Amino acid sequence: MAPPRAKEARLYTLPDLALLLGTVVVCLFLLESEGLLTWAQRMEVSAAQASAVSVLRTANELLKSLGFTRPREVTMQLGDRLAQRLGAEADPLLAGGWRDSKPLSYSAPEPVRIDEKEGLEPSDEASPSEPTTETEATGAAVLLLGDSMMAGSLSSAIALSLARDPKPRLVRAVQTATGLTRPDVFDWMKVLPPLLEREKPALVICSLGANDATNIREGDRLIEFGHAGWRSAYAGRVKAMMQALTARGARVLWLGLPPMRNASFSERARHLNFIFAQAAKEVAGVEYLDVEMLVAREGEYVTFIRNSEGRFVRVRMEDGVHYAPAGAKLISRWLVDWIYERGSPLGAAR
Amino acid sequence: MLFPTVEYGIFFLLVFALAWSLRRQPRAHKVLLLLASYAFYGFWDWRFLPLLIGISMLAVAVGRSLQLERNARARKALLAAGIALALATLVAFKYLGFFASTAFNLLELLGRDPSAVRLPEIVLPVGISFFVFHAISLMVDAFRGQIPVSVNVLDGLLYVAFFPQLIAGPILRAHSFLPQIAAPPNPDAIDAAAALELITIGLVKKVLIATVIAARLVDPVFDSFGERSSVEALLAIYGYAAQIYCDFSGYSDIAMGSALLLGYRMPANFDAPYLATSPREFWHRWHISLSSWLRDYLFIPLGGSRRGPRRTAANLGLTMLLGGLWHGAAWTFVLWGGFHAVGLVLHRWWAASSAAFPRLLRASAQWRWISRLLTFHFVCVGWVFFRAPSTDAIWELLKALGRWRGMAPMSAVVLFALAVGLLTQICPPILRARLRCRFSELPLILQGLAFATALLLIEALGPQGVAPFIYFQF
Repeated sequence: MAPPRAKEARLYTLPDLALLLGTVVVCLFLLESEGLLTWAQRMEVSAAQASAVSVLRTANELLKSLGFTRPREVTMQLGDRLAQRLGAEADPLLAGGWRDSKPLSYSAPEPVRIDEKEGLEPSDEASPSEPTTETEATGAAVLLLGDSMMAGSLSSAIALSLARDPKPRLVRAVQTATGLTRPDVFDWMKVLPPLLEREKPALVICSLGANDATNIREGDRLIEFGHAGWRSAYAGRVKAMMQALTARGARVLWLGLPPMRNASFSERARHLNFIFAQAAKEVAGVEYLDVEMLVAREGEYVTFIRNSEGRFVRVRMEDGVHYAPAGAKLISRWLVDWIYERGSPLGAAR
Repeated sequence: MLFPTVEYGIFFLLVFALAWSLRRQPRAHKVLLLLASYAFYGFWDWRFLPLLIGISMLAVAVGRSLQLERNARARKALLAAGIALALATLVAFKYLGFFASTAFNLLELLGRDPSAVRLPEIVLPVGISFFVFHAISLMVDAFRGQIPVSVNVLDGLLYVAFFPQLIAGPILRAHSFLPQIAAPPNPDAIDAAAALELITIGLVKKVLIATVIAARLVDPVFDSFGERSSVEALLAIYGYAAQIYCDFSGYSDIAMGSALLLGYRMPANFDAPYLATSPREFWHRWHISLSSWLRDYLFIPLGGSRRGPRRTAANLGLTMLLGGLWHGAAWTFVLWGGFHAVGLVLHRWWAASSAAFPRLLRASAQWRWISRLLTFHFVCVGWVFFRAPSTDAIWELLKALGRWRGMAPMSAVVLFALAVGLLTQICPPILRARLRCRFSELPLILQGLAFATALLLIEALGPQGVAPFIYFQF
């Protein structure tokens, strides 16, 4: 027997479709003015963006007073309530909040229990005085902090390399597509204090800045990248961040940016590195680490590099920006040597 | 320009209005679509526009010559030269660094010192794997005499670059899509109900499911597999199965919906792949436009399954290894292709076996579900190869599966998204057809309101900012 066939939907004429899509556009403009405003606010800072924001803000205020923004607000509230009902807050992977797609992927402190001889095996040893839950601390905390340069392979490689005595507990605070130039999109200075208060890291390994070579807005003033005032404005933010990180006595390793495949991006990264290095000199407890010697060749971008065994390994991803696993491994090895051999806070715990 | 963004919405509405307003001037209509496609590509990376145009021109020149040339030997030489040039371009941009580093490492192993060697620095143009495959389809279809219209420059360029499929497919076939381009689209028969349905479902899959599963489950676990327990690793693998399906099929849905609104029809790219009862059936349901391309342009010309079981196994192996490599210049993808090849060969052997036990099992009532479950888990193991950042990581990931330990508390939100992600594929087509029919019978204003409400719900419930689609990197 042939399978039952449903009646087919009718085909549309162009005027019908135009009317339908016209209705969609009008409805969306009325109902989504808040979403459109957020979209404009997140565009790159520029004069055009400022005008778009101002037009959309006016429209949004008018539509809000008429009640058109209510359906979106109610939907969002219902969504959040449902997410909470389903236990969103109990989930460390959701700790950044349900609404943010790129959550601060803060993982609750986990003891890294890896026996070098046995490889990656779980260990059931836990101090008797400590609660025995999985997420309880067993050693000094290391906070891995940063954007997409830290996410993925680098944080993963550092976690594996640090899995030696004295087994620090790792805390990841990674948020892709963030930095210090756009606190309106994501504000590290707001997120950090409670995190530092809770975790009290002895060491912070930070990689930020890859998204920062862009215009800054300070109050009503637009400061374009590369123009007068940008450097001091950005340096001020970097220093404030470093001071916040070291306020509780933590040591900070600030990783510079590697050369990028795109020449102008690379030039910008070099400019930022200069600011990081300067700021690190001025804030006690911060050390700036240049990664150029590890994943570049004579200061130039390379995708493949010969490792200590003489083999070519891919150190950068296809995008010419992020670290490939082997590149991350080179950096993490160097970091771990630095940590254990140069009198780091973790060294004292041995 | 990602599909689920305001930018794409504005771009698409502009193209829609301009394209249909030029419908009475077919040439201008096509020029507009072509320019829009180049603008869409330029939005990603304008530096590679000459490459895209160059490959398209090569395909058009070879395709047209093949339609005109009658000498069999000349035709063969022309086709071989065209394909070689297209493939050489793909290899140069995508695989040169990978092949060179592998070759130099082999030299090193053999005791030769390749010091002072500097590997080439090559940028991978977005979508190159897709547009080179389009170009090859045009040349081969012309060679086989399957294109019922004569190939001309404008149609050929538009076929390769048509923006809904330019970055990540579906891979269109020249013999079926060129005739669509040759005739102007019919403004009185637009399948808008299906288009809006596809766009809505695609957005739900991408924005509400794939993005959430990736950010909350898959990425965190895959980034720290060395510290993860078996339950977390297992959930992340199921999570990735749901994520990659929702991500890629969601992309294809939006591409197909966009094309339908402009009056063009694309073939389906997915058909409930995780309901497959064998690896072979899986490839008839997953990324259909790629697997059928590989079947028609590689597996069958190699001899297919007509030359005995050994030759069939070798053909399958080569096809799947190259298919794996097509996804990226890394050993992880080659291993993934090899893993699927082994599965396909074993399945052939099992299906042909006349021994008592396989026959009994195959005839049992439960076999359908057992084989479905086995196939799904086979595919999931394959995804570990696919998602692993390096070959070393594959073993570490599989080892995490054996690490019995509790799991970090995981909210039901993620599990819910995971379940919905896997279940989206089983919505019966007849139900969808009924809903589509009901929708199309509503007054137009109500239809507009309903679609706007769906978009509002997706935007308001979804996370802010959407990650790029997985298949863009291929």
